[in-house]
Amino acid sequence: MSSPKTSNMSKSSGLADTRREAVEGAKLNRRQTLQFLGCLSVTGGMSVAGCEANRQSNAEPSPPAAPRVLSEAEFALLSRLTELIIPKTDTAGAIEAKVPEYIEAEIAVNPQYYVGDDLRVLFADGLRWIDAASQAKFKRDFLQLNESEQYRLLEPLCAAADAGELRGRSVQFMRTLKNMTVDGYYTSQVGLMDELRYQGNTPQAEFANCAVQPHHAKPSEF
Amino acid sequence: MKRDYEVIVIGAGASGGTAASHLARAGVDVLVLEGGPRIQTQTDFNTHGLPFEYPRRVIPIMRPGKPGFDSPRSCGVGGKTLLWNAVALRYSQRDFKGATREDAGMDWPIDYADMAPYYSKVEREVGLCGQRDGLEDLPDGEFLPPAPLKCSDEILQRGAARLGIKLIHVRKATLTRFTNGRPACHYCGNCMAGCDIVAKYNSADVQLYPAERETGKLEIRENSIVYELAVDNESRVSEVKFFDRESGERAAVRGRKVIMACSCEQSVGLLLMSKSSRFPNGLGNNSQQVGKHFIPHVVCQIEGFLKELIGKSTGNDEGFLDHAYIPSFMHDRQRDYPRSFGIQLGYHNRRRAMWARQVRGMGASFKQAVRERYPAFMEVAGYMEMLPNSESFIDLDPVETDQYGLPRTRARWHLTDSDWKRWRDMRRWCIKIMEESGAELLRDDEKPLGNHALGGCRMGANARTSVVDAHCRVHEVLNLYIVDGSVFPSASEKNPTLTMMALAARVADHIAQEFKRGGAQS
Repeated sequence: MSSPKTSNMSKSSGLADTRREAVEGAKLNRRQTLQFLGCLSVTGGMSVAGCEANRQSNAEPSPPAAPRVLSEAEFALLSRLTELIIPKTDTAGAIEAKVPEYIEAEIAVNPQYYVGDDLRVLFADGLRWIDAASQAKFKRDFLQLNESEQYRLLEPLCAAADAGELRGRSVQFMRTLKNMTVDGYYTSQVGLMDELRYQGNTPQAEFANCAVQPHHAKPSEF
Repeated sequence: MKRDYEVIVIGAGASGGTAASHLARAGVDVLVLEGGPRIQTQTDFNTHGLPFEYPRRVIPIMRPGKPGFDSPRSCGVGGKTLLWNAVALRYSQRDFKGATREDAGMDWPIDYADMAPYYSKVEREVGLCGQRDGLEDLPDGEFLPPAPLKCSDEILQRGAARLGIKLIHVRKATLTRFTNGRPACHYCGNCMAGCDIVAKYNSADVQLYPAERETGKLEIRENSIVYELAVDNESRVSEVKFFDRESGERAAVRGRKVIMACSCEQSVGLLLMSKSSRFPNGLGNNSQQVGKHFIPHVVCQIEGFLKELIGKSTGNDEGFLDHAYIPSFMHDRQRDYPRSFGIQLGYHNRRRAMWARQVRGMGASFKQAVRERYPAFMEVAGYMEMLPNSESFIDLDPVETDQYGLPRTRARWHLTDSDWKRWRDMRRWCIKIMEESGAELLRDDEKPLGNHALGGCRMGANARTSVVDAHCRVHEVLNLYIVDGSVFPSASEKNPTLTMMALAARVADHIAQEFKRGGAQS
């Protein structure tokens, strides 16, 4: 699927071109916005230069490496599970998006909002259950199964979690695993920018209303 | 810093900022005491942060090392206006006289006609955008052009219209044209992370700092946490006692008049903390009305995906968050509960996709399903009024204190059968409008949420059933006023901040006139 910014110009209709130009023309990149602001006298003695400098120092300094709470074997199994939930397609999957690292760091912090459970216990139990279920069904550990067998084992668990049937510990584990995989992937750079193609957080001089938004075109028209 | 002022204003948010700046511009000598720090709007917020820039994917409000918003007592100069969504709606006569109309709750002791000139004054001062819709129940204001509706808004507009319901442009205290030295909004979707260009109104950059610079009558003392109002033998506030948030050093100042604008819970809390032999239940509380009649807005949220937008491409469409609003329609219709609700919609930004958890399945088809739904996500939030009842009130926690050693406030609200009928009908209508607009709905947990704390020091003519009079003066304390959301005797379903600001402007005018007449004995 091509990105909206590149297109088969020769294939698109004149109307699509006009729409796209209107959208592009309405966008200001950040430098243009700051120059625009620089011409105005604004209250409170704000300086435009301040905006630029602070954009660069926006991110926190790199934190020290998160403590490891999973064994190598557990981490490998977790990684595979996340990749099965969000695999590599035309964009990166969970492993490339460093979702296993995100999940392990969250387990180490054991935040309150995954409430009711000590995440370390839930994940230790859950990962162990996965291998036990794999042995029971296929006489092999989970990582020794082929992809089709791995999906056969997980899909009913996922369906139960999606349906909200959270009585069993294994389903609770699946629910938490899917939640954290989804959270970690779609807030990653790869997930938000490449997969979802987030376009916001970008100043524009006018808000493009419904008529000129690219929503009306299917992606292939761009 | 002096010891004596004509007026002391406690709190530098929407109400405090309006009252203090208007008084200073009228020539009155004002001190503002604000619990939190001064915040540099353009540099201190993580306005443009993205989740992947942070290991835990949560974007802190303040940049590293910048103080602000560390407790409800100490947000900062500008208060919650630094982070608010800026929806700005006028209340109507139905809102001011709801009890007369429907025999439920309590009337305000003022009319829409009393407030109209102050709504206009504040709107012209800070800049509002919106469309003149000519609706009796949602009076038009002084508007800059509205922001255009989004695709999702237009889809809902068509769906709502098929149900006989009107969807309009939202009204916001955000500029859509360059006005008074402030730029127009550039639709970056970060309103609630701190508008670093001040296109969105905040009381610090738009009212307080200009008045401080231009009048010579306004002094702002930040990092000043007021912990007690002392009272004299004539039931007048004699001293405003505060300590410095950083050094802990204590001090006191005197004002001929004192205006509390601490925000709903904090104003109640300050009165309850100010006990004395004359006022053993807390200042102004011999009537035992302080803290009572707490009436926050009660909310339902319905989320889903608009089928018309599933599979379409993504645009830069965060805008200034919500661009549309569905005003109350039930107030004119047959129903089995009094009062009404309105619906806010489309206020999400697109950098979090929490809803992805609820998309079914796993694997490549799941990933595709999330991708297709990303541009189609839409939500509506019904906001309803609740009526006062004996189980909804604010008090002080007898045990828990905050980081400053001051008692925390506790706010609890409870829905009566009548409120539940309204909430369920509101939820039913939200679902119906979404479904009529072709939405694939997500599961909601069917639990009411609270937002917009209101009530606790309500206005009224009768000193036995209210805390302040029609000029927001505390019945029992002749030189004390309250101008924040705590004084609302009824909540309406409409966002309350513009009404707080108009009320503050009215009170400031009243006090300034009194000083001019040379009165101000009280």
